[in-house]
Amino acid sequence: MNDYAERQYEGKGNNSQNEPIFKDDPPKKEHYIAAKPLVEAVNVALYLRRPLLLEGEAGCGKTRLAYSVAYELGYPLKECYIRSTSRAKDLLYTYDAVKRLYDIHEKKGKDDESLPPREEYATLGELGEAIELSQKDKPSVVLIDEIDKADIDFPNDLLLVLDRLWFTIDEAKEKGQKAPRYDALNGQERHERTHVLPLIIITSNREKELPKPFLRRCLFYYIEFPQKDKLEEIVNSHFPNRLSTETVDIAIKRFLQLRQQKQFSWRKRPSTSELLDWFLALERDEKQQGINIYQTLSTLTEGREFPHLEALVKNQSDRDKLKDLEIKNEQE
Amino acid sequence: MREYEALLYPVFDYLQRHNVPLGVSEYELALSTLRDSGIADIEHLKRFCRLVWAKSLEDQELFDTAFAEFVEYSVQVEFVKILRDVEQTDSSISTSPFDTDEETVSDGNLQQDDSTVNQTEHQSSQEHGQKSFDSETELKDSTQHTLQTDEPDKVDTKTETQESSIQWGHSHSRFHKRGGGNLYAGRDLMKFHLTPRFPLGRREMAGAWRHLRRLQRSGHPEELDVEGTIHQVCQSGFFVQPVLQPRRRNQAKLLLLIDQRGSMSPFRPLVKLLLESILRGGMLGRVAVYYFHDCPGEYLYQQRNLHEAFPCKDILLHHARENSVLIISDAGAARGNYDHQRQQQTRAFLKELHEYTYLYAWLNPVPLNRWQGTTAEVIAHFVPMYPFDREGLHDAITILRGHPFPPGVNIDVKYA
Repeated sequence: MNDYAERQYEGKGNNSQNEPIFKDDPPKKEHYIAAKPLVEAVNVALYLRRPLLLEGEAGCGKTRLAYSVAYELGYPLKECYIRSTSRAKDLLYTYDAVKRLYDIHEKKGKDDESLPPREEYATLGELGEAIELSQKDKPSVVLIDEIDKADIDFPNDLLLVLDRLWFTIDEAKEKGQKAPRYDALNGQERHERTHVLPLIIITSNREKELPKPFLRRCLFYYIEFPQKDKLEEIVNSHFPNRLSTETVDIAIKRFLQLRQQKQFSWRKRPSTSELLDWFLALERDEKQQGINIYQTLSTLTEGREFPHLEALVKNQSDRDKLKDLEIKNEQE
Repeated sequence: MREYEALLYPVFDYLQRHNVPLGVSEYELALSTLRDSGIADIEHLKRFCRLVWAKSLEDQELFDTAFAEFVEYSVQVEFVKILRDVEQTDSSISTSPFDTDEETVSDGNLQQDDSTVNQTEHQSSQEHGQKSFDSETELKDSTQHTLQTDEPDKVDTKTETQESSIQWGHSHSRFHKRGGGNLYAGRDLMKFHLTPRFPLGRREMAGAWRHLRRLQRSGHPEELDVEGTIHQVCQSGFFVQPVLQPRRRNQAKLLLLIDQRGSMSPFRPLVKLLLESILRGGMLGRVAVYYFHDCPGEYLYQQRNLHEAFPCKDILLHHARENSVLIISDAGAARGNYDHQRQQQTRAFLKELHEYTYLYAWLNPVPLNRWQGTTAEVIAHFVPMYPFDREGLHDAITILRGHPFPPGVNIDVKYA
């Protein structure tokens, strides 16, 4: 008997307490510190198995959350990265009709004209695989990343699948037989099988407005930028015992000063992922070049340039505005 | 029914009326989940409902307002009342209706005795009622109330409850009607609601724009053309290579002509929302926006402040040919008078536009009943003009897709 129904998400960046479903291919460890409401949201989504739609600033850890959930629960992670040409059907399966056509012609006129079954020409997509796993009573985490990148039809086409959690491969239908069918519910009621259904996590950057019926079915959570103490926790989880407490403290202070400055509005505000990159660069300086980071940062006056600004500021206009500000401050 | 269910309904109703995409199943879902798993405290209840019911950052703000108004306020008032009553009756109970475990919530049938029938006999219906309140009670009189519990030493046997049923659903609405006398009344209701809500939300606008599409195959050939391949095999007798075709993409193009300044100034936020909805709708192949003042003349402007002028002819030639054109202007309806020159000038422009395309429509942000007797009423005879509301936008988009003009609307109509 498995314990899938009891598995809960904690979001503290600890080692996973749960046994991975596929021991030979366990999900990678993820240092992710989630705010309490977010942990609650994930657990509600787990309980209801409704898709969890995440929004938030770029770099605040929307995608990473899915990794972290998969790791902690020990579920396999199925990642669907959406492109502008993605179609909902591609997430379920692709059918290689051209290959079959070639095979037919190759065998033509030969003694053995039999072809492999049609189903062999179909390849399951990530969501398709997740549904197949569910059918075999194995839950998974499905990440549908940046859904707003796709064509406006995409979410609508996905609706039916997300609702019913089954699909058929119509192209692979053999004569006199039914088309191959994958069904996460396996003919049972939804509430009987919630614990083995895939947990679907969807991220969006709000480039496009998602259709109403799609939104209706999702749980929505907006990931806020973490508070200072949470930031410290995050940094310590990623750099355990590698940087002194004072260094972390002063660096986060400086980072927040930069982030919350009111003189101009950011085009792209530095976020958690930028902060972690910055720490990596700072740590390298300290280890390899023997620069005392604490001293550099604590003597940093507003007029002087940040070390490794390239890790924090990601576009020219922000950089220019920041430079202007520095010059102004120096003149004063 | 448990009391939080009655409390939550107004929140749900409020959100639904404000066009948050919610259905009965979402209401059911929230309640059944709460029933199964219980609520830890009111903050938890709030977070949970927000997760299930709010679908964007704006919705979340809306939710917070509704929750503060309908739930937190009621609970706070009840809580304060209980505390006071407890002090009065020297009772030591101070359980809030939303306590740390669900049992308390489900058992905490709060009723209140009516002050007018105070000091009467204790009723048998009270036997398994716990702390009870009756919603009929005036808030300001709450200090006179007595708390009842089923524990004998804390029961005030002198009081009687007229209605033993819980009336939370009604009580919350009473609370803010009578806000005045109580110390806490009205405090939370003083919050201002600063998220602009328009008669037509961006989500609906984006939904409407989805209908404006002209799918055509363009770009790289990347999709297998099954029919073409079979055809080729049949023709040559053997299979050489698959025939590919480009994907179908939305090729609809839109030219937006927006009246700016003057009488259109108050409608700026609405127009801005429309623009956003088009860009966020994301399905239009190309959108061009030009501005004018009062009526399109010889020049149209690329900037909102009527800078960067381009000859109208060039723009029509470039953007309007065979494309959809949407004009947004009050057509003089905001001022409320008839301006012959404006009418003539607009008509001249429309005639010119008609040579390039017949896919054009007009959205007028002024309501239909205000067009009467103004320039707008006359212009509406030449061009399909619709008020800027849900139906109007849909109708305008139908015209932009190529539907014929409504009867009686014609550029060549003789208007006396």
